[in-house]
Amino acid sequence: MNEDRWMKELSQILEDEPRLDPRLEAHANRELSYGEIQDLKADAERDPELAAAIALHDPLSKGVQSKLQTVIRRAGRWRRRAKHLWKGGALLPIAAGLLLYLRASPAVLPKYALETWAGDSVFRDSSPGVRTLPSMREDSTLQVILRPSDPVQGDLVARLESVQDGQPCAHHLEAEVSAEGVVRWRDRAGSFCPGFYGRVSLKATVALAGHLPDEGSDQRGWQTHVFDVWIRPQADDRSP
Amino acid sequence: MLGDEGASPATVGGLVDRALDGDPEACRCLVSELSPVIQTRVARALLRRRAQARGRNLRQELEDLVQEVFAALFASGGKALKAWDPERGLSFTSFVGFLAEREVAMAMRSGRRNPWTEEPMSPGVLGAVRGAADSHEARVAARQLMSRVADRLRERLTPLGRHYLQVLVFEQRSVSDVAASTGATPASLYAWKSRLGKLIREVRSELLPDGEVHE
Repeated sequence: MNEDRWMKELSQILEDEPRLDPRLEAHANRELSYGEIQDLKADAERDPELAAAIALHDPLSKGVQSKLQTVIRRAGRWRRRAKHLWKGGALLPIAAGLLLYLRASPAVLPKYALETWAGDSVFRDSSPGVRTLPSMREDSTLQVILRPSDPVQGDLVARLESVQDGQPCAHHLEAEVSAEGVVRWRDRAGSFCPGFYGRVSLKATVALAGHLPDEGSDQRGWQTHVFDVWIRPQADDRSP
Repeated sequence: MLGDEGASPATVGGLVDRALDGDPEACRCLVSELSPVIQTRVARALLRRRAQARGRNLRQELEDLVQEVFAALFASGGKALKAWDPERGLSFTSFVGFLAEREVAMAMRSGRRNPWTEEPMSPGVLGAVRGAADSHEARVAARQLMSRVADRLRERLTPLGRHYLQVLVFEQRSVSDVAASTGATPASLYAWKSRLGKLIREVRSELLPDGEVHE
Protein backbone atom coordinates (compact mmCIF):
# COMPACT_ATOMS: atom_id res chain seq x y z
CA MET A 1 0.00 0.00 0.00
CA ASN A 2 1.52 3.29 -0.98
CA GLU A 3 1.94 6.27 1.30
CA ASP A 4 -0.90 8.34 -0.17
CA ARG A 5 -3.39 5.52 0.10
CA TRP A 6 -2.21 4.72 3.59
CA MET A 7 -2.73 8.31 4.72
CA LYS A 8 -6.13 8.44 3.06
CA GLU A 9 -7.29 5.34 4.87
CA LEU A 10 -5.89 6.58 8.14
CA SER A 11 -7.85 9.79 7.64
CA GLN A 12 -11.01 7.78 7.04
CA ILE A 13 -10.47 5.76 10.19
CA LEU A 14 -10.05 8.95 12.20
CA GLU A 15 -13.11 10.44 10.54
CA ASP A 16 -15.19 7.34 11.25
CA GLU A 17 -15.35 8.30 14.88
CA PRO A 18 -18.04 10.98 14.83
CA ARG A 19 -20.47 8.91 12.82
CA LEU A 20 -22.26 7.73 15.93
CA ASP A 21 -25.91 8.67 16.06
CA PRO A 22 -26.11 12.14 17.65
CA ARG A 23 -29.09 10.99 19.71
CA LEU A 24 -26.76 8.73 21.69
CA GLU A 25 -25.00 11.60 23.44
CA ALA A 26 -28.35 13.23 24.19
CA HIS A 27 -29.52 9.90 25.58
CA ALA A 28 -26.52 9.68 27.92
CA ASN A 29 -27.31 13.27 29.01
CA ARG A 30 -30.94 12.27 29.75
CA GLU A 31 -32.06 14.84 27.22
CA LEU A 32 -34.31 12.59 25.13
CA SER A 33 -38.01 12.41 25.77
CA TYR A 34 -39.71 9.08 26.35
CA GLY A 35 -40.97 9.11 22.75
CA GLU A 36 -37.52 9.84 21.36
CA ILE A 37 -36.04 6.97 23.36
CA GLN A 38 -38.69 4.63 21.96
CA ASP A 39 -37.84 5.78 18.43
CA LEU A 40 -34.16 5.18 19.07
CA LYS A 41 -34.84 1.68 20.38
CA ALA A 42 -37.08 0.92 17.43
CA ASP A 43 -34.24 1.91 15.10
CA ALA A 44 -31.88 -0.28 17.10
CA GLU A 45 -34.03 -3.32 16.42
CA ARG A 46 -33.09 -3.00 12.76
CA ASP A 47 -29.45 -2.05 13.44
CA PRO A 48 -27.35 -4.22 15.78
CA GLU A 49 -24.53 -1.65 15.76
CA LEU A 50 -26.91 0.98 17.06
CA ALA A 51 -28.26 -1.44 19.65
CA ALA A 52 -24.73 -2.03 20.97
CA ALA A 53 -24.12 1.70 21.05
CA ILE A 54 -27.35 2.39 22.93
CA ALA A 55 -26.39 -0.18 25.57
CA LEU A 56 -23.28 1.89 26.25
CA HIS A 57 -25.13 5.21 26.25
CA ASP A 58 -27.98 4.29 28.59
CA PRO A 59 -27.70 6.82 31.45
CA LEU A 60 -25.67 5.67 34.44
CA SER A 61 -27.78 4.24 37.22
CA LYS A 62 -28.13 5.87 40.65
CA GLY A 63 -25.92 3.13 42.03
CA VAL A 64 -23.07 3.96 39.63
CA GLN A 65 -23.49 7.68 40.27
CA SER A 66 -23.24 7.01 43.96
CA LYS A 67 -20.04 5.03 43.36
CA LEU A 68 -18.62 7.98 41.42
CA GLN A 69 -19.33 10.27 44.35
CA THR A 70 -17.48 7.81 46.54
CA VAL A 71 -14.54 7.92 44.12
CA ILE A 72 -14.38 11.72 44.54
CA ARG A 73 -14.69 11.55 48.30
CA ARG A 74 -11.96 8.91 48.42
CA ALA A 75 -9.68 11.09 46.30
CA GLY A 76 -10.05 13.86 48.87
CA ARG A 77 -9.60 11.79 52.01
CA TRP A 78 -5.96 12.78 52.72
CA ARG A 79 -6.76 16.39 52.09
CA ARG A 80 -9.64 16.23 54.59
CA ARG A 81 -7.53 14.40 57.17
CA ALA A 82 -4.77 17.00 56.90
CA LYS A 83 -7.29 19.82 57.28
CA HIS A 84 -8.93 18.09 60.21
CA LEU A 85 -5.59 17.60 61.96
CA TRP A 86 -4.61 21.20 61.35
CA LYS A 87 -7.92 22.56 62.59
CA GLY A 88 -7.85 20.30 65.62
CA GLY A 89 -4.39 21.54 66.50
CA ALA A 90 -2.93 18.06 66.25
CA LEU A 91 -0.31 19.27 63.83
CA LEU A 92 0.89 21.99 66.19
CA PRO A 93 2.84 19.62 68.48
CA ILE A 94 4.34 18.00 65.40
CA ALA A 95 5.38 21.38 64.02
CA ALA A 96 6.76 22.39 67.43
CA GLY A 97 8.65 19.12 67.70
CA LEU A 98 10.12 19.64 64.29
CA LEU A 99 11.20 23.15 65.24
CA LEU A 100 12.80 21.87 68.43
CA TYR A 101 14.53 19.12 66.51
CA LEU A 102 15.91 21.63 64.03
CA ARG A 103 17.02 23.93 66.81
CA ALA A 104 18.59 21.06 68.70
CA SER A 105 20.35 19.68 65.68
CA PRO A 106 24.12 19.81 66.05
CA ALA A 107 25.61 23.26 65.60
CA VAL A 108 28.74 23.31 63.52
CA LEU A 109 31.74 25.53 64.17
CA PRO A 110 34.13 26.25 61.31
CA LYS A 111 37.66 24.90 61.63
CA TYR A 112 39.84 27.07 63.86
CA ALA A 113 43.64 27.49 63.60
CA LEU A 114 45.85 28.39 66.53
CA GLU A 115 48.30 31.23 66.29
CA THR A 116 50.66 32.04 69.17
CA TRP A 117 52.63 35.26 69.30
CA ALA A 118 55.49 35.12 71.73
CA GLY A 119 57.09 38.54 71.55
CA ASP A 120 57.94 38.93 67.88
CA SER A 121 57.88 35.21 67.10
CA VAL A 122 54.75 33.63 65.73
CA PHE A 123 53.90 29.96 65.99
CA ARG A 124 51.06 28.42 64.08
CA ASP A 125 49.61 25.01 64.80
CA SER A 126 50.02 24.08 61.18
CA SER A 127 53.66 25.26 60.99
CA PRO A 128 55.85 22.22 60.44
CA GLY A 129 58.78 23.81 62.33
CA VAL A 130 57.08 24.13 65.68
CA ARG A 131 58.86 21.62 67.78
CA THR A 132 60.47 23.63 70.56
CA LEU A 133 58.50 25.40 73.18
CA PRO A 134 58.28 29.11 72.84
CA SER A 135 60.26 30.52 75.72
CA MET A 136 59.58 34.00 76.88
CA ARG A 137 60.13 36.36 79.72
CA GLU A 138 57.23 37.02 81.98
CA ASP A 139 57.10 40.66 80.88
CA SER A 140 56.98 39.82 77.13
CA THR A 141 53.65 39.95 75.38
CA LEU A 142 51.95 36.65 74.68
CA GLN A 143 49.07 36.50 72.29
CA VAL A 144 46.97 33.40 71.76
CA ILE A 145 44.74 33.69 68.72
CA LEU A 146 42.15 31.26 67.42
CA ARG A 147 41.25 32.13 63.84
CA PRO A 148 38.25 30.53 62.03
CA SER A 149 38.41 29.36 58.42
CA ASP A 150 35.09 31.11 57.74
CA PRO A 151 33.25 33.89 59.53
CA VAL A 152 31.11 32.50 62.34
CA GLN A 153 27.37 33.12 62.58
CA GLY A 154 26.02 33.38 66.11
CA ASP A 155 27.43 34.11 69.53
CA LEU A 156 30.70 32.57 70.68
CA VAL A 157 32.15 31.78 74.05
CA ALA A 158 35.89 31.25 74.65
CA ARG A 159 37.80 29.83 77.58
CA LEU A 160 41.52 29.63 78.33
CA GLU A 161 42.77 27.20 80.96
CA SER A 162 46.39 27.12 82.08
CA VAL A 163 47.99 24.32 84.03
CA GLN A 164 51.38 24.14 85.67
CA ASP A 165 52.65 20.88 87.14
CA GLY A 166 49.15 19.48 86.87
CA GLN A 167 47.66 22.31 88.89
CA PRO A 168 45.26 24.83 87.35
CA CYS A 169 46.43 28.44 87.42
CA ALA A 170 44.07 31.23 88.41
CA HIS A 171 44.21 34.03 85.89
CA HIS A 172 42.02 36.93 84.96
CA LEU A 173 42.43 36.95 81.21
CA GLU A 174 39.42 37.90 79.13
CA ALA A 175 39.05 36.86 75.52
CA GLU A 176 38.35 39.42 72.83
CA VAL A 177 36.00 38.09 70.14
CA SER A 178 35.75 39.87 66.80
CA ALA A 179 32.62 40.08 64.66
CA GLU A 180 34.08 37.39 62.35
CA GLY A 181 34.68 35.05 65.27
CA VAL A 182 38.43 35.55 65.80
CA VAL A 183 39.26 34.92 69.47
CA ARG A 184 42.26 36.50 71.10
CA TRP A 185 43.89 36.50 74.55
CA ARG A 186 46.65 39.04 74.90
CA ASP A 187 48.69 40.00 77.95
CA ARG A 188 52.04 39.72 79.63
CA ALA A 189 53.23 36.11 79.53
CA GLY A 190 53.37 36.09 83.32
CA SER A 191 49.65 36.79 83.49
CA PHE A 192 48.80 33.44 81.93
CA CYS A 193 49.84 31.62 85.08
CA PRO A 194 50.58 34.32 87.67
CA GLY A 195 53.30 33.54 90.16
CA PHE A 196 54.70 30.52 88.40
CA TYR A 197 57.59 30.03 86.02
CA GLY A 198 58.53 27.12 83.83
CA ARG A 199 56.36 25.02 81.54
CA VAL A 200 52.73 26.07 81.39
CA SER A 201 50.15 24.18 79.37
CA LEU A 202 47.51 26.36 77.80
CA LYS A 203 44.20 24.97 76.63
CA ALA A 204 42.17 27.37 74.49
CA THR A 205 38.59 26.46 73.79
CA VAL A 206 36.10 28.20 71.53
CA ALA A 207 32.45 27.21 71.26
CA LEU A 208 29.13 28.39 69.95
CA ALA A 209 27.13 29.85 72.83
CA GLY A 210 25.67 27.01 74.88
CA HIS A 211 27.89 24.42 73.24
CA LEU A 212 30.90 24.20 75.56
CA PRO A 213 32.16 20.63 76.11
CA ASP A 214 30.91 20.56 79.71
CA GLU A 215 27.48 21.60 78.42
CA GLY A 216 27.18 18.22 76.76
CA SER A 217 27.45 19.52 73.24
CA ASP A 218 28.36 17.54 70.20
CA GLN A 219 32.01 18.19 69.31
CA ARG A 220 30.99 19.96 66.14
CA GLY A 221 29.95 22.89 68.36
CA TRP A 222 33.33 23.44 70.01
CA GLN A 223 37.11 23.14 69.45
CA THR A 224 40.09 23.03 71.76
CA HIS A 225 43.75 23.72 71.06
CA VAL A 226 46.46 22.81 73.56
CA PHE A 227 50.05 24.02 73.55
CA ASP A 228 52.87 24.57 75.99
CA VAL A 229 54.88 27.68 76.64
CA TRP A 230 57.98 28.19 78.84
CA ILE A 231 57.78 31.27 80.98
CA ARG A 232 60.88 32.56 82.69
CA PRO A 233 61.44 35.34 85.16
CA GLN A 234 62.14 38.84 83.95
CA ALA A 235 65.73 38.69 85.11
CA ASP A 236 66.43 35.35 83.43
CA ASP A 237 67.44 35.59 79.77
CA ARG A 238 68.21 31.91 79.30
CA SER A 239 66.20 29.61 77.12
CA PRO A 240 65.11 26.27 78.63
CA MET B 1 -23.65 25.00 36.23
CA LEU B 2 -20.55 23.83 34.39
CA GLY B 3 -22.14 24.17 30.98
CA ASP B 4 -20.26 25.91 28.27
CA GLU B 5 -21.25 29.42 29.34
CA GLY B 6 -21.44 29.02 33.10
CA ALA B 7 -17.99 27.70 33.89
CA SER B 8 -14.86 29.60 34.74
CA PRO B 9 -11.60 28.21 36.13
CA ALA B 10 -12.50 29.77 39.49
CA THR B 11 -15.93 28.11 39.70
CA VAL B 12 -14.49 24.78 38.56
CA GLY B 13 -11.63 25.00 41.07
CA GLY B 14 -14.00 25.97 43.89
CA LEU B 15 -16.42 23.16 43.11
CA VAL B 16 -13.63 20.58 42.85
CA ASP B 17 -12.20 21.72 46.20
CA ARG B 18 -15.59 21.56 47.86
CA ALA B 19 -16.18 18.07 46.49
CA LEU B 20 -12.78 16.88 47.67
CA ASP B 21 -13.55 18.40 51.05
CA GLY B 22 -16.56 16.10 51.19
CA ASP B 23 -19.38 18.50 50.31
CA PRO B 24 -22.14 16.10 49.10
CA GLU B 25 -23.86 18.75 46.98
CA ALA B 26 -20.61 19.55 45.13
CA CYS B 27 -19.97 15.82 44.60
CA ARG B 28 -23.47 15.31 43.20
CA CYS B 29 -23.15 18.32 40.94
CA LEU B 30 -19.81 17.21 39.52
CA VAL B 31 -20.99 13.66 38.94
CA SER B 32 -24.13 14.79 37.17
CA GLU B 33 -22.25 17.35 35.04
CA LEU B 34 -19.21 15.28 34.15
CA SER B 35 -20.44 11.72 33.94
CA PRO B 36 -22.38 12.05 30.61
CA VAL B 37 -19.40 13.45 28.70
CA ILE B 38 -17.06 10.88 30.24
CA GLN B 39 -19.51 8.10 29.54
CA THR B 40 -19.87 9.03 25.86
CA ARG B 41 -16.08 9.20 25.38
CA VAL B 42 -15.59 5.85 27.09
CA ALA B 43 -18.44 4.37 25.04
CA ARG B 44 -16.87 5.64 21.84
CA ALA B 45 -13.51 4.10 22.76
CA LEU B 46 -15.14 0.77 23.58
CA LEU B 47 -17.14 0.74 20.36
CA ARG B 48 -13.98 1.36 18.37
CA ARG B 49 -12.41 -1.69 19.95
CA ARG B 50 -15.46 -3.89 19.99
CA ALA B 51 -13.70 -6.56 17.94
CA GLN B 52 -11.26 -7.08 20.81
CA ALA B 53 -14.00 -7.50 23.43
CA ARG B 54 -13.83 -11.31 23.35
CA GLY B 55 -17.19 -11.78 24.99
CA ARG B 56 -16.70 -9.28 27.77
CA ASN B 57 -19.65 -7.37 29.17
CA LEU B 58 -19.13 -3.97 27.56
CA ARG B 59 -21.54 -2.17 29.88
CA GLN B 60 -19.59 -3.37 32.90
CA GLU B 61 -16.34 -2.35 31.22
CA LEU B 62 -17.83 1.08 30.58
CA GLU B 63 -18.85 1.59 34.19
CA ASP B 64 -15.45 0.49 35.46
CA LEU B 65 -13.64 2.77 33.03
CA VAL B 66 -15.84 5.74 33.94
CA GLN B 67 -14.84 5.22 37.58
CA GLU B 68 -11.17 5.03 36.60
CA VAL B 69 -11.45 8.27 34.69
CA PHE B 70 -13.12 9.97 37.66
CA ALA B 71 -10.35 8.74 39.95
CA ALA B 72 -7.71 10.11 37.57
CA LEU B 73 -9.42 13.48 37.23
CA PHE B 74 -9.72 14.02 40.98
CA ALA B 75 -6.30 12.65 41.92
CA SER B 76 -3.74 15.07 43.41
CA GLY B 77 -6.33 17.60 44.51
CA GLY B 78 -8.08 17.63 41.13
CA LYS B 79 -4.97 18.93 39.41
CA ALA B 80 -6.07 17.69 35.98
CA LEU B 81 -9.43 19.47 36.16
CA LYS B 82 -7.92 22.64 37.56
CA ALA B 83 -5.58 22.80 34.56
CA TRP B 84 -8.50 23.84 32.36
CA ASP B 85 -7.88 27.17 30.67
CA PRO B 86 -10.73 28.47 28.47
CA GLU B 87 -8.22 30.64 26.63
CA ARG B 88 -6.97 27.50 24.94
CA GLY B 89 -10.24 27.17 23.11
CA LEU B 90 -11.99 24.23 24.78
CA SER B 91 -15.13 24.49 26.85
CA PHE B 92 -14.92 22.79 30.23
CA THR B 93 -16.96 19.80 29.14
CA SER B 94 -14.90 19.37 25.95
CA PHE B 95 -11.77 19.58 28.07
CA VAL B 96 -13.09 16.86 30.38
CA GLY B 97 -13.97 14.79 27.32
CA PHE B 98 -10.45 15.20 26.00
CA LEU B 99 -8.94 14.15 29.34
CA ALA B 100 -11.32 11.21 29.54
CA GLU B 101 -10.42 10.00 26.07
CA ARG B 102 -6.73 10.18 26.80
CA GLU B 103 -7.15 8.41 30.12
CA VAL B 104 -9.19 5.62 28.54
CA ALA B 105 -6.69 5.19 25.72
CA MET B 106 -3.86 4.91 28.25
CA ALA B 107 -5.81 2.48 30.42
CA MET B 108 -6.59 0.30 27.43
CA ARG B 109 -3.09 0.33 26.08
CA SER B 110 -1.46 -0.44 29.42
CA GLY B 111 -1.74 -3.83 31.00
CA ARG B 112 -4.37 -2.53 33.40
CA ARG B 113 -7.33 -3.46 31.27
CA ASN B 114 -7.38 -6.78 29.57
CA PRO B 115 -8.65 -7.71 27.04
CA TRP B 116 -8.11 -4.28 25.54
CA THR B 117 -4.34 -4.34 25.88
CA GLU B 118 -2.75 -4.28 22.46
CA GLU B 119 -1.24 -7.53 21.35
CA PRO B 120 2.01 -7.31 19.44
CA MET B 121 1.46 -7.63 15.73
CA SER B 122 2.45 -11.07 14.57
CA PRO B 123 5.26 -11.48 12.02
CA GLY B 124 2.65 -12.72 9.56
CA VAL B 125 0.66 -9.53 9.89
CA LEU B 126 3.77 -7.37 9.65
CA GLY B 127 4.79 -9.26 6.55
CA ALA B 128 1.41 -8.69 5.05
CA VAL B 129 1.53 -4.96 5.82
CA ARG B 130 4.94 -4.69 4.21
CA GLY B 131 4.18 -7.14 1.45
CA ALA B 132 4.01 -6.27 -2.20
CA ALA B 133 0.78 -8.09 -2.88
CA ASP B 134 -2.42 -6.18 -2.40
CA SER B 135 -4.04 -9.28 -0.95
CA HIS B 136 -7.06 -9.37 1.31
CA GLU B 137 -4.77 -10.35 4.17
CA ALA B 138 -2.55 -7.32 3.52
CA ARG B 139 -5.53 -4.99 3.48
CA VAL B 140 -6.88 -6.38 6.74
CA ALA B 141 -3.46 -6.12 8.35
CA ALA B 142 -2.98 -2.56 7.13
CA ARG B 143 -6.41 -1.62 8.44
CA GLN B 144 -5.55 -3.14 11.81
CA LEU B 145 -2.30 -1.20 11.93
CA MET B 146 -4.02 2.02 10.96
CA SER B 147 -6.62 1.60 13.67
CA ARG B 148 -3.83 1.43 16.19
CA VAL B 149 -2.08 4.43 14.70
CA ALA B 150 -5.39 6.31 14.83
CA ASP B 151 -5.87 5.35 18.49
CA ARG B 152 -2.45 6.66 19.39
CA LEU B 153 -3.00 9.86 17.45
CA ARG B 154 -6.29 10.40 19.29
CA GLU B 155 -4.45 9.84 22.54
CA ARG B 156 -1.71 12.34 21.81
CA LEU B 157 -3.50 15.10 19.96
CA THR B 158 -5.77 17.79 21.32
CA PRO B 159 -8.91 18.59 19.32
CA LEU B 160 -6.99 21.49 17.76
CA GLY B 161 -4.15 19.14 16.81
CA ARG B 162 -6.63 16.76 15.23
CA HIS B 163 -8.13 19.60 13.22
CA TYR B 164 -4.71 20.55 11.88
CA LEU B 165 -3.96 16.91 11.16
CA GLN B 166 -7.06 16.76 9.03
CA VAL B 167 -6.56 19.96 7.08
CA LEU B 168 -2.76 20.15 6.81
CA VAL B 169 -1.80 16.48 6.52
CA PHE B 170 -4.75 14.53 5.21
CA GLU B 171 -6.42 17.17 3.04
CA GLN B 172 -3.03 18.73 2.25
CA ARG B 173 -4.48 22.22 2.16
CA SER B 174 -1.94 24.98 1.78
CA VAL B 175 -0.66 26.80 4.84
CA SER B 176 -1.86 30.14 3.50
CA ASP B 177 -5.34 28.74 2.94
CA VAL B 178 -5.52 27.30 6.47
CA ALA B 179 -4.05 30.49 7.93
CA ALA B 180 -6.75 32.53 6.20
CA SER B 181 -9.55 30.28 7.46
CA THR B 182 -8.32 29.79 11.04
CA GLY B 183 -6.49 33.05 11.81
CA ALA B 184 -3.37 31.10 12.84
CA THR B 185 -0.02 32.46 11.72
CA PRO B 186 1.74 30.69 8.84
CA ALA B 187 4.79 30.14 11.06
CA SER B 188 2.73 28.29 13.66
CA LEU B 189 1.05 26.21 10.94
CA TYR B 190 4.38 25.22 9.43
CA ALA B 191 5.45 24.16 12.93
CA TRP B 192 2.22 22.15 13.30
CA LYS B 193 2.71 20.47 9.93
CA SER B 194 6.23 19.44 10.76
CA ARG B 195 5.26 18.25 14.26
CA LEU B 196 2.32 16.22 12.93
CA GLY B 197 4.41 14.54 10.26
CA LYS B 198 6.96 13.62 12.89
CA LEU B 199 4.26 12.30 15.21
CA ILE B 200 2.79 10.03 12.53
CA ARG B 201 6.24 8.67 11.71
CA GLU B 202 6.93 8.10 15.41
CA VAL B 203 3.65 6.32 16.05
CA ARG B 204 4.05 4.19 12.98
CA SER B 205 7.57 3.18 13.85
CA GLU B 206 6.43 2.30 17.39
CA LEU B 207 3.94 -0.14 15.92
CA LEU B 208 5.93 -1.25 12.91
CA PRO B 209 9.45 -1.02 14.26
CA ASP B 210 11.75 -1.51 11.31
CA GLY B 211 10.13 -0.64 8.10
CA GLU B 212 8.04 1.76 6.14
CA VAL B 213 4.74 0.84 4.63
CA HIS B 214 5.31 0.60 0.94
CA GLU B 215 3.98 -0.95 -2.17
